[in-house]
Amino acid sequence: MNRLLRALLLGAVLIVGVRVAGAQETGRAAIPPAAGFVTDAAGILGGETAILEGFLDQLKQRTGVEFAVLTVPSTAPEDPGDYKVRVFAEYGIGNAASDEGLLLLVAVEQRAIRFETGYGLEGTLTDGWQATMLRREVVPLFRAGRASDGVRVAVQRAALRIAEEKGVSLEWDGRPLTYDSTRKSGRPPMIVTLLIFALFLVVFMAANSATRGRRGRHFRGGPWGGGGGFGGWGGGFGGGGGSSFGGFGGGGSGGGGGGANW
Amino acid sequence: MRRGMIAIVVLAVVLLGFGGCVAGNYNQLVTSKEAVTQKWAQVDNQLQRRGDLIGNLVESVKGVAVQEQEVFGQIANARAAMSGARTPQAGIAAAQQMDGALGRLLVVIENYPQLRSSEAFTRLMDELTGTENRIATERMRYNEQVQAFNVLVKRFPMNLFAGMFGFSESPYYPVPEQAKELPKVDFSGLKQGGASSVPTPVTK
Repeated sequence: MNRLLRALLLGAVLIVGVRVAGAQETGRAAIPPAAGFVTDAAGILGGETAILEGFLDQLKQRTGVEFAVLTVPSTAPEDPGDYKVRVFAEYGIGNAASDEGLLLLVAVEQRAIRFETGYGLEGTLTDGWQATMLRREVVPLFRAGRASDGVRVAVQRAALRIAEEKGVSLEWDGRPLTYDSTRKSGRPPMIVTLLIFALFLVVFMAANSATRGRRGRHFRGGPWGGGGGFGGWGGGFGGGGGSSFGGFGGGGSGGGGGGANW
Repeated sequence: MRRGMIAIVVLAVVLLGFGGCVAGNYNQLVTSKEAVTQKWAQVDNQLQRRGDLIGNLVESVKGVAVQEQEVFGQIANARAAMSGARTPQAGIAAAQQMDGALGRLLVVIENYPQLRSSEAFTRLMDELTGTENRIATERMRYNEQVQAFNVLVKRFPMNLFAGMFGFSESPYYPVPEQAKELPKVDFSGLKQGGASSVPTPVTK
């Protein structure tokens, strides 16, 4: 009996071993499951993670745009450019109908910072703008060993660009985030902002309840598992609170997006 | 009389069944072919966009590299072929022509380091890099769909229907050979590799 059990166990181990070897042969790097809008698998963001999460939740609620941040230790054996396309497709960032999603990928070993732009944002965020911004403002921070500052700047700049396009304002840590250009920011009056915000909330609520079953699948056992709901109220106003993240919307991308290496 | 009736009914049922079977297969072929066409449209979009970007690039290089008329002529020819392409076959051929011309243009650009200090030029190169990545991604998706369609067309009994309705295999878009040898122009740590490192779906 004991022998039989051992034989069975050995067989199981062998099968699992073969399967693992098979997975490695395909030459693809593993994609960490999304922990929220921000997934810091490389562990370089530290305390910034929660603040970014709240901010990106706010962005989603005010503009409808899903902006995901992923840091990984390495994308080997893949090129970061191939990896980011697969991550975007697997997460399905952005609304499935509008494809307004954005991914910021940081690969430590490759020293790579890459944007992957959803189809719906290609006009708002061009590759040239992204690459220029990264090289000018973000790469110097990474070179100085300030990775979390670099990610924050990249996220803020891209989010502001989106907010500007949508005509809404954003807050960082409770304070209005401003465009660092000399021209007037031309923000709409408060009531308009509130109305738009309310509208997005309603849309979000509807979408959330409609697709909760599907969305939940990414987060089995995670802190956001299934329920989702509205923990994100604080995130929207306070800038540092929780997130109402309930999974991405299934948007698509086509390999576009700027990048830089540090 | 009665026997004749039964025979007619049986014949009708068999014919109806056969008709339904044909219609089902036909619809499957149409759906798959349409998906190929749609994926090609995505590839074509990006190829046209690349053509426009390369046109702008030539404009920005022309002023500095006056004596490189031959390359500019090749680029112009490739762009003309690209915009004249009406089928995936013609589009793929034009894209390959453009790959070759672009490779030579990049070699030329390497000889004029002063170009790299220009903001407009750097931005163009960023856009071009992004577009090459888009082409690689859409090419991969197109080839996957072509594979699915071609398998459908070639397998029995679908091959009979496919022949009947005039469906033939769609062409793959191979990863360009030149891309693997494309000179790596280093723009202060821009993405390297790009299209060349995408696995070839054709050989899967």
